[in-house]
Amino acid sequence: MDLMVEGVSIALQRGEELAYPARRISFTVKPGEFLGLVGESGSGKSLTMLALLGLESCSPGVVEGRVRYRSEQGQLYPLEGLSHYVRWHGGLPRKRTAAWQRTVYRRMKPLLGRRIAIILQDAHKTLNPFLRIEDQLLEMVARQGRADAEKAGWWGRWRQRRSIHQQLRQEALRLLKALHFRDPERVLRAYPHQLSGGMAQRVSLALALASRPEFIILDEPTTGLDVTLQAALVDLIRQLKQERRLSGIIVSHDLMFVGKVTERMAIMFSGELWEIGPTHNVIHPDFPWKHPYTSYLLSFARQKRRGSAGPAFQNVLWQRPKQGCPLRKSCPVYLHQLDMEQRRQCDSADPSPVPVFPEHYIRCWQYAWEEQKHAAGY
Amino acid sequence: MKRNASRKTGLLTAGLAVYLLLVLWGSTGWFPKSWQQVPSRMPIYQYSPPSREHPLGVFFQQDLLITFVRSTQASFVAGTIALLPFLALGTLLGIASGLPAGFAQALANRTIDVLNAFPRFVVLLLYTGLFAANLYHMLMLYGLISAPKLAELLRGRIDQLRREDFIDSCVALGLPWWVIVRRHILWHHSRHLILAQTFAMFAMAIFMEASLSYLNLGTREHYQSWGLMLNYATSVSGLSLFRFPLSAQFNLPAALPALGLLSVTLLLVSLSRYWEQQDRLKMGRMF
Ligand code: SF4
Repeated sequence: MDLMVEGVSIALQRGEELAYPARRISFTVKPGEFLGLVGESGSGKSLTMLALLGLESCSPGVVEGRVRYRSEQGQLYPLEGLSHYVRWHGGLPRKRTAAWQRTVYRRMKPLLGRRIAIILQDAHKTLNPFLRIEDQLLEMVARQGRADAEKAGWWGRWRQRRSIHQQLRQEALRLLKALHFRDPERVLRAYPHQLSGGMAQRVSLALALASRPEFIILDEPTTGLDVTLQAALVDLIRQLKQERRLSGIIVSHDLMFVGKVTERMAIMFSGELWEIGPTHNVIHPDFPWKHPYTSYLLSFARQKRRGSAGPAFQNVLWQRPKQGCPLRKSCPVYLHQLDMEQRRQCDSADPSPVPVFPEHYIRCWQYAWEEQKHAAGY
Repeated sequence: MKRNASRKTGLLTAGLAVYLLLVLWGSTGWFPKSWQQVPSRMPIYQYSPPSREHPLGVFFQQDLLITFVRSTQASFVAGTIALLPFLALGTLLGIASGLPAGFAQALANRTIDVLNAFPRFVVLLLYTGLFAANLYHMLMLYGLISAPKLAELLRGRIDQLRREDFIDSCVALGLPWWVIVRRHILWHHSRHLILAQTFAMFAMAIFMEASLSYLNLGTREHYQSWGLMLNYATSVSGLSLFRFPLSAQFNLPAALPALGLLSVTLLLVSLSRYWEQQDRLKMGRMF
């Protein structure tokens, strides 16, 4: 399954005004490919993912742009005409907001849990604390075989309930074994609070995989996992990619973790994408073209043990300047390397994405100037 | 503490078992022959004291114990009749008002407001005044107009749980909303609360039935109930519940239904409190 996101903006209603936790986000995820969405906490990555799925964590949600999911059989699931719901005068009336949420949810319903699965942050909290893992997992496995079960009719189902339960249980055990649980029987009998962080993470992965999705979204999968468990998760994701030809998105603040499992990487900050390209290029320290924020993240990841990576970038999600590059107040390139003329350009206009390499785009005036020079034959 | 709690649970279970046994006895309709034979010449309003043939005496030309057992069964029927519409409408309104369902949510909320606006007893009196109603219809109506109590509790619970990550996760994994509400919200997180409300409603319905019968409201034939027993014993025959000097034998026709009514309603209210407490404990463990 592939996903195309074109110019999507996500809005939140704040009193009478709209605030934008994500602006003009564009990316594509091809079949069999994983995209890493990386940024620090509060940069709007999780919110973007939830809004793209029509989950109602933000209101009104996606207000501009186009989102298209295309299944392996070529079916299209478009979310279009979104801006139709926005009324700019005096904010958004509540009624429209609710209607919009329902519209997105209705359009996404055929996909959720069937073709697309999402694993939310903090695996422990995403499991129902009063249900055994068995009940939760069997519920998802049963959904997969619903079409066959419905043919049998309710009486048939009732008569064969024991054998159906056994089949589902076997399927759940197989799934847990595939996720490297040593004692799947014990896991099935356990309640969520009896599982460790890593086990809970793998159980929520099992819940998502039970419906045999084509596309998977992992939101901060490394939360609460130590280094060994992270390494195990990396192996697991690689294995799933190979075996099931899964594609998906990994949302994380951990640049190095995402670097190990994705083919392409997008860097997000203050609700905007600043760089998107092949993972190898983005995280390679010697790759010459890098957005200043990516360089900051990389140096931070490398110097994490030694201390600070220099002054932090200022998050302008809620106080975005009306014009110019929103990062300029804390951009080291702007502050220390640019001349007056170049600074004036950063002050006056928002940079557009510039291709620096095949399928590698950076939003920064530096590369726009380089491209102009290149075009002029220097 | 633990021993106290288990003793309390044991007492409550024993009380419930006695009540249900009496109900079962009443519904089988089997009583010893000697109890059923009442001297035909006996005046209708006269109470004859206990004897070998009639363990609690005879009143209103019937064995008092038979009347009591049948009244206990009638109280159970009354509770059940009021309970069904209460649970059905209360759950429906609770779900509709708790989910962001647009028009359905607004409609459910307004229905709860309207039903809450009228005093319940007055509505019942109006209903009898207008339609000369059957007692069972009145109890059904009582169940319906009490539904907002359950609906408001469920609305709060759904509203609270909707914000939890595991419900978000269920939505994200594509579970239909009715499965999430039925399985994850109502059954696994609210069943204690619903059980508590069920017991409370049962108790209130029994009390209401007794009050309506006492006031002679609602048409019925061959009906026996604690309310009617009290009515006959206190007003018709001139007996009163508290009389000095206290004489148990003399006051039995009035004391027996009063005792039955009070103990059953107290038992059910205690059970309701117990389940409410369990619910609070359970939610406390969760959050
Ligand atoms: S456009 Fe200018 S201010 Fe913005 S990141 Fe690039 S150099 Fe820094």
